[in-house]
Amino acid sequence: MTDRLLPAKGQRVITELDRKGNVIVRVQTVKSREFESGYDSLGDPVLGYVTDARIMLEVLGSLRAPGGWFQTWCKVLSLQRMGSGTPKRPNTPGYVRTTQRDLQSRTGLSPATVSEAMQYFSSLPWVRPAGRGLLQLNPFLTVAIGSGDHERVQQEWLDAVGDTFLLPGPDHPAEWREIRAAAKDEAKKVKQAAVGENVVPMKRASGRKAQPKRSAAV
Amino acid sequence: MAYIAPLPSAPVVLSREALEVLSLVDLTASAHRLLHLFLARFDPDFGTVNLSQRDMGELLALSHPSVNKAVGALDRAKLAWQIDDALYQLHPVLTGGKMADRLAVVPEIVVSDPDSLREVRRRRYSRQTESLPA
Repeated sequence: MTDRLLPAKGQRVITELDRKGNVIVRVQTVKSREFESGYDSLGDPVLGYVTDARIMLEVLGSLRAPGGWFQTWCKVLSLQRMGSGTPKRPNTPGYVRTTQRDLQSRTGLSPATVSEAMQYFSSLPWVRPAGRGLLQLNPFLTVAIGSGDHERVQQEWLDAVGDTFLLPGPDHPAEWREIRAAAKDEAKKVKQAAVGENVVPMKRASGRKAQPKRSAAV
Repeated sequence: MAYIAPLPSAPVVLSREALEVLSLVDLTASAHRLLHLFLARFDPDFGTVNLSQRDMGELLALSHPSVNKAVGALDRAKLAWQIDDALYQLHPVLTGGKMADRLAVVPEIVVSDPDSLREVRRRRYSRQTESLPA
């Protein structure tokens, strides 16, 4: 590895898989959709594209995740809008205007599936909430726009999230779910402890079913 | 392990329409994974993927029957189909119009609307819960 792998202004770090499945890290200079120049980890000059779509697709292919997660991700990507939009709702490249309810209605997936998928992709992070009903896609992974705009969008991402993100392995979703379940359990315990040790949860009499909640009178 | 060609260096350009279609096809997780593998590895000139089912199994860590089922699911959804030994054609919507055969009938991708997808999932879920032991 050489000091060339430290990105300077106007450069970005890109990862690729070689034929043995090893990850190669490259630093490339942004020009527009094409990289002007760059050096791979062996110091050889390379040319390439801004969008690392093949890596993204390869990673998605290797991911052992529910089918709904793939659908959600495809839907988020498909909601990118080009052009200037309207004055009230301008379109910004790299940003997506949507909500979980919107994603749910557009894909026919359950709220739980969409929510879990979005939490997972945000945890990587491949996407981040950038405001109410506004998501920013990771500009190192999915966005291909002009160099000036790309640098700006990239800077916004770096300011908000930082310079690291994950290319998850096949079993990462299962590990993430385990960690999340453990964290939930922990939070539940803390909450119970905060309520007080003297509070005893009421037991329902055996053989008696729970009554449905009454709906509010209109 | 058999030699598997590295990822092509040409860019993948997936249109919004293609992504919209992908978000509305009813596929299993394995079929989704296989489709993404195909998209990562297709030949930019012909829209084809040169992979045997054994290679797919190795790349996705799936058993042969699972790979076979996933290939069948993509074929039924008309997203990718076999045209030769270890050679699969992706639907031209996903490849920017590129196909190996320039004079071929292009099938229509089986896409459902969100409501019918929701209904299908609901029925599937209720079937699964009914089959659970009491």
